[in-house]
Amino acid sequence: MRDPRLQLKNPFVAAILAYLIPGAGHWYQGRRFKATIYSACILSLFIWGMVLGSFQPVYSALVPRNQSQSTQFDKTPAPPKLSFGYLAQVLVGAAALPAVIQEVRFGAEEVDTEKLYADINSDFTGIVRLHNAGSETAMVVRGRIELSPENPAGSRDVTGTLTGKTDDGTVVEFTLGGPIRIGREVFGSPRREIECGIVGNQADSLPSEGKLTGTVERSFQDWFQAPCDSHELDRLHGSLSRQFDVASVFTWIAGLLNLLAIWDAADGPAYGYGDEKPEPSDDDESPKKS
Amino acid sequence: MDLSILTNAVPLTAAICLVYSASRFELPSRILKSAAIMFAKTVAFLGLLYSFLLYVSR
Repeated sequence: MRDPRLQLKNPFVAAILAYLIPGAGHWYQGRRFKATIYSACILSLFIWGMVLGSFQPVYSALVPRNQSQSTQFDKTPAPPKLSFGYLAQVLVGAAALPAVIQEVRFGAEEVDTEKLYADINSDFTGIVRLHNAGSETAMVVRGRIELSPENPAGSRDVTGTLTGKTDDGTVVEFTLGGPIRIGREVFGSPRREIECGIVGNQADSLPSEGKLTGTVERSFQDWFQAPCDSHELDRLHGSLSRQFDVASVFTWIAGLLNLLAIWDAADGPAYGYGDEKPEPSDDDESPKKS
Repeated sequence: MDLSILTNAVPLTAAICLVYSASRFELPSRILKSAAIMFAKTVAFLGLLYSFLLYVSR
């Protein structure tokens, strides 16, 4: 029997609030101390997990990789598979729900990887390959890329420039043109893959034609909690090592702990108020032998 | 050996103990007492386990 001192108000509403924001259900019931504990502990774990994992440990679906090309260029990728970790993460409520929205956006996107619809002005990391009479010169370049579609309404051919530095510190500047390939808009990686042609450069010692492949920035709302593939997870493990696993565990545990909070909001504490006297055990009731 | 990863275990354990105890009792003093005992037991157990694994892996 529930302790009469415990006022749960509307338990259903409290449970929904506790699900959406850890601690909100208890705040609604006037149980401020517990609301503070749930909110501080669960949200801290979840947010710290996100920070440790570069804000990428939460994704509702994993896209199977196509062996012939990158998932970002794949117009018809295989249906994403459920991420089992998300079943725990989603229990943390509103903080993990963007993943569902991103999965819907990922599935609904009309992928056109061979057209540019808007200007790109971003940092760039990738490889430049220059061709000259059958020989090829390749170099890693980090810098800034500016690209515009030839037709403002969107076109396959683009114009632009890439300025940056090679690994040995040489400053390079290329004129870009020709057809473009660009990764899909919604994808669980902060980097968007890109390929386009090189039609000129400022250094006389280098060939003036070639191709660049690399990545540019993807906007936060297009990658946060969006479905990703095993290639992106490999990249995260490569850069963060075990820290990414720890980050995932933090977010899973945060969700599972909120399940306890939801239950408490709906049905009260499991063992009682906490000041009850312990019930006498069977040994105490048995008559003492003289 | 990278011990920095272990530093995450302490606040994680504290958070788990607090939330678990809060879901068992209503009285703040009882919640805190129960969480403190659970935290001490868990840290002691994990410490022993870690020490043992460290010893056998030398």
